[in-house]
Amino acid sequence: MARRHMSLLQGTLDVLVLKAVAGEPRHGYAVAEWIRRTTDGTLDIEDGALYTSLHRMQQRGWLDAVWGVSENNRRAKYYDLTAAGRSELARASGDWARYAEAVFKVLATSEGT
Amino acid sequence: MRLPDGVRRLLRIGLGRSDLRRDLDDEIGFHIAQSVDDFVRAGMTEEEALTRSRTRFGDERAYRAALERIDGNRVRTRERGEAMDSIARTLSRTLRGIRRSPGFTFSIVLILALGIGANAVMFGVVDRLLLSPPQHVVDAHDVRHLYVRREIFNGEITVGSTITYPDYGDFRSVEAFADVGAYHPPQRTTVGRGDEAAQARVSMATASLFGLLGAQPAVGRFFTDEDDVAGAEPTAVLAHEYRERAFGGADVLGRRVDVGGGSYTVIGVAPPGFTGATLEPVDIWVPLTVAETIESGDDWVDNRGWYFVHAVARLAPGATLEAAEAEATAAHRAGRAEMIEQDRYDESAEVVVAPIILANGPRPTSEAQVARWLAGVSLIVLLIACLNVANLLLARAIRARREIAVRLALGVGRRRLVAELVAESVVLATLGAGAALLLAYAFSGPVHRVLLPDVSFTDAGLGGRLLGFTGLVALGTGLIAGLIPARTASKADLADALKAGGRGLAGGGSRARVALLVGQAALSVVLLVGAGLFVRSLRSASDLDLGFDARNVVVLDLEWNETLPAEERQALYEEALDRVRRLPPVRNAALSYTIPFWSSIGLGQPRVPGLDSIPRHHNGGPYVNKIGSGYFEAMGLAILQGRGFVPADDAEEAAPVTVLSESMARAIWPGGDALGACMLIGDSDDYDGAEVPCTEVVGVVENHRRQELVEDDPHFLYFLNQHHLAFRGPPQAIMAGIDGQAGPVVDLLREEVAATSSQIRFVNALALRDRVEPQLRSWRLGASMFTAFGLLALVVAGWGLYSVLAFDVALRQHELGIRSALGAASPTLVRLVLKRAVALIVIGTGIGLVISWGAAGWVEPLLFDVSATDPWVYALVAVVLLAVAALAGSLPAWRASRVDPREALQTE
Repeated sequence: MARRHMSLLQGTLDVLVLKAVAGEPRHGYAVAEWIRRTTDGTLDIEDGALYTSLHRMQQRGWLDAVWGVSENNRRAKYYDLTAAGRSELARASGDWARYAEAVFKVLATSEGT
Repeated sequence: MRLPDGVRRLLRIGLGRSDLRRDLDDEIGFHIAQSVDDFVRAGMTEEEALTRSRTRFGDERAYRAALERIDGNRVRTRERGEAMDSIARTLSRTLRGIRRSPGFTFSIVLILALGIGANAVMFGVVDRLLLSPPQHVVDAHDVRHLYVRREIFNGEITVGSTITYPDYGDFRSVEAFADVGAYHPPQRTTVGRGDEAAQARVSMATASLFGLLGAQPAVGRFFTDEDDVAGAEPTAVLAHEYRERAFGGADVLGRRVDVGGGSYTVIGVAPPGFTGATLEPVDIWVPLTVAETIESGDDWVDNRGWYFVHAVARLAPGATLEAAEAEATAAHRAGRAEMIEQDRYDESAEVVVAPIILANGPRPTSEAQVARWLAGVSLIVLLIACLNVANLLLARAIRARREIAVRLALGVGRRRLVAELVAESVVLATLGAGAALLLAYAFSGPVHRVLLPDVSFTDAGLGGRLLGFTGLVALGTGLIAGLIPARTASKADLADALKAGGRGLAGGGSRARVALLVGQAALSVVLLVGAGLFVRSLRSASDLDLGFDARNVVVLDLEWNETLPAEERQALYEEALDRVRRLPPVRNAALSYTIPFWSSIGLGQPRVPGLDSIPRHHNGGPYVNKIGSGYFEAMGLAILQGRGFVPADDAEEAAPVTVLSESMARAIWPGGDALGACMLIGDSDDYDGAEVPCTEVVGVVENHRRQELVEDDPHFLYFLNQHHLAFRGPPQAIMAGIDGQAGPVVDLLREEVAATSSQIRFVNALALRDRVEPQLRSWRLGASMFTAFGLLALVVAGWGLYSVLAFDVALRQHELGIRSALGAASPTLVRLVLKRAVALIVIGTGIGLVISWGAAGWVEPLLFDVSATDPWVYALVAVVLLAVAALAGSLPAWRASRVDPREALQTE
C-alpha cells in the first residue's frame, strides 16, 4: 500500500514543534527528525516551514535559543521551551485532544452511513 | 575585522542585520549538512543526498526572507523593551534617591530654583529691552527709527532722534520709505476736570504711525489723515489698559475726554500692550497736528528750530538700508539747504536708519546697557548654582563610592552609571525649574515696576519664550551639574574604592570638588565687586550735591480750568503761596518761573558797561529765573556774597537788582568784585522802547544743576518776581522748602493748594527729588540687581562651602578619631578644618579679585564717580568672603572637635 502523505492543518505545526523540544533542547534538524520519526513520516512538512515556526515562537517568547555544539561537534542552534512555551503547549495539546475527540465521535457513529 | 566585544555591545553592532544573517546561514547550513550526512549514511551519493536535502527544505530563498523578517522584528522589540526598561529603572532609582534624602534634594532644588529663577527674571527684562520689538509691530525688521547725526558746537557730534515737523515732512518724500510716522513721547498731562482731574500719559502721533506699525485697533479705529489736520474735530484713541483702569472697561466710543487744553472724542481703543514704536506705556493717543495746535498754536508747523517729534519709517519693499540712509540724508540736507547756506546747520548732517529696538540703536538707554550686564550676571549666578549642585552631587557620589564600585564589579556599565547620575541631576534641575518659574512669576512684576517703570511689560508674563528658555536652561544645568560628578565617580578605581569604602582620606574627586568650590568663591567675588561698585555709584549719584536740597523741596505747579489772564494767575499763585507758607512743615516757600530738571529759559547775552563781551558758557545760557523773595532759602541755596532779595526790592519804584550764580559771577568778574556792578539785560524793545536800565548785582548765590546730574555749573541770573520788565508773565511753580523729608508732606501741600480756588484744575505736586530720580534709574537698577544677585551668589557659595566641609568632616571621622585617640586636642582638629575652609576661600577670592580687576575697564563707563578698581570695594568683598568662610567652617569644625574616637573607629 502506498503511503499517503497528509498536509498539515494551519497552526498545527507549532504544537508539534513545541512538543518536540519539550523533553530536551533540540536543534532544528533534530526537531525535524523527531517529528518524522514519531509520525512515521506521515506528515509531509518542509524543513523550511519548521524553521519558520521555530523562529516565530522564539519571537513570541515561547522558545529560547542558544548556540551549542552538536553530537558531531558542529555549531548548532538549540531551542528550549520557556515557561510561556510550556503553558502554550499544555493549552494547545488540550485543545487538540478535545478537537480530535469530537471529530472522532462524529466519525464513529453509524447513523448517517 | 571584528571589533572587540565591549565596543560592539556599546555600539549595538551585535544585534545588527548582518549578524542575524550570519546566524541564519549557520543554522541552515548545519541543517543541510546534517541531513546530507544522514542520507549518505543511508547509502546515497553526496550529490543525491544534497538534492534530496534541498527538496525536503523547500524554497530556501522564500523561507530565508521570512525568517529574516521574523528575527528582525524580534530584535527590534527587544531593544525597545530594554530602552524603556533602562529609562524606567533610571527614573525609579532617581526618585527613590530623592525620597530617601529629602533634605539633600530640597537644598539642590532650592539652589537651582534661585539660579534658574534669577535667569528667568532677567530673561523677561532682556527679552523686553533687547530682543523683542514693541508689541503689535508687524514685520518689525523693516520698521526703523530715524536719527540725525550732526555737529553742534565746536566739533561736538550728537546723534539725536528729536527732529522738527518740517524735517518729518522731508522724510515723507523719501521713496525708500514705504511710509513715515512721527510721534511725541508720552507726557504726563492732566485729563478731566474738577474733582475728576488726574494725570495720564498722553502721546501725540501722526495718523500714519499706526498703519505703518501694522497694529489693529481693539475697538473702533485709529486716526485717519482727516483726523490729523489742523482744524479737524479733536479725536483720541485710548490704550486698552487705560480704558480698563479709568473707565472700568466700559464702552468709550464717542465719549469726550478733556486732555490738556483740549476736548477730544474717543474713536478707538488700542490693542492690549500697544505702546507704539517704543516701550514707554501710553494711556491716551491724540493726533499730533490737532493736539500740538491746541497746546502751542501753529508756530511749530514750519519752524526748523522747534524740535519735538521722533520719526519712524517702514522700508519700502526691496529698499536697502544703505539706499534709505543715502536718500533720507539727501532729503534732510535739501530741506535745510537755506540754514546750511547761512552756516546755521551742519552741512554734513547724516540720517541714521536704526532698528526698531531702541537698545540696538545709536542711543541705547542706560537701562538697556545695564540690562545687558545683568543678563551676564544672572548667567554667572546660574553657573555658581551649577557648580554648587555639581559639588553636592559629587559629594554624594563619593559617599556612594563603595556602592558604585560594587555595581561596577557586578558588571553594570559605566555608561549606565553616568546616565543615572545625569538623569538624576536633570530631574532635579527640572524640579528646580518649576520652582524657578514660580519665583520668576512672583518677582518679575516688582522688578519691572520698581526698576523699569517706563517700560511696558504686559507681554512679558510667563510666555512661551520664557518657558522655552527656562526649559533649555534647566536641561543645560542638569547636564553640566550631572556630568562633572558622573565623570569623576565613574572613573573611580574599583579595587581602591572597594578597599577604602566610604572612609579614606581626601579621595578621588576631592580635587574636582576643591576646584568647584574655588570657582564658586571666585565668581561670587566678581558679582559682589560689581554690586559694591554699583551701590557706590548709586550712593555718589544720589548724594551728589546738586546745589539745592532736592530732598527737602516740594514743587507745586498749577493748571487752570480755563485760560486766565496773567494777573489773575499771579494773584492765585500768591494766594496759594500764602496758604503753603502757613503750613507747619514748610520752612520757607517762594514762587519760581522755572523748575530745575524740568524747565529753564535761556537769555541773550547781557552786556556789562566797560567790558567788550562777557565769556560764554560752552553749554549755552546764561539761564534766567524770575523768583519770589525767599526762593534761595526755600531751595537751600546759600548766599555767598552780598545779599538775597528783600521785599523792598519788589517795590514799584525800586531800582532793578539781580543775583548771579557763583559760576557766572566768577566768569565775568574773576577778581570776585561782582557786587555793585551794572548789567544791561535785554534791549530797548523789552522796555517798551525806553533805554535799557542798569541792573545792579546785589548778591552771588551758590551754583546748582539745571538738568543733568553732571554738568559744568551753568550760568544763572535771578530777578525778583514782578520786578523785571524783561520777563513778564506769572510764575510757573511754588517751591516749598520743608523741615525734613519732602516726600511725606507732598499730599498735604497738594490739598492745601487745591483748596485755594475753584479755578485750579489740577495741582501737580512732586518732591523735587522725584524730578531727579529718573536720572538715577540705571544705577539703581544696577545696584539693586547686582546686590541681589551678588548676595544670592554669596549665600549659594557659602552653603556650598559649608556642605563640603561638613561632608569632609563626616568622611574623615575615622581619621579624626584616630588623631583624637592619639592625643590631638580639640583646637588642633578645629584648626585642621578651618584652615582648609580659609585656604579655599582665600584662593577663590584672589582669583575673583584678579578677574574683577581685569574686567574693570568694561564696567567703568556704567559707573558714576567710582573707579572700577575702587580699593575699598575690593577690600570689603574680601573681608565678607573671609567672614563667610569662617561662618561656613565653624559648625563642621565644632563637629570635628567633638569626634568620639571610640565611636568613630567602630563605624566600620
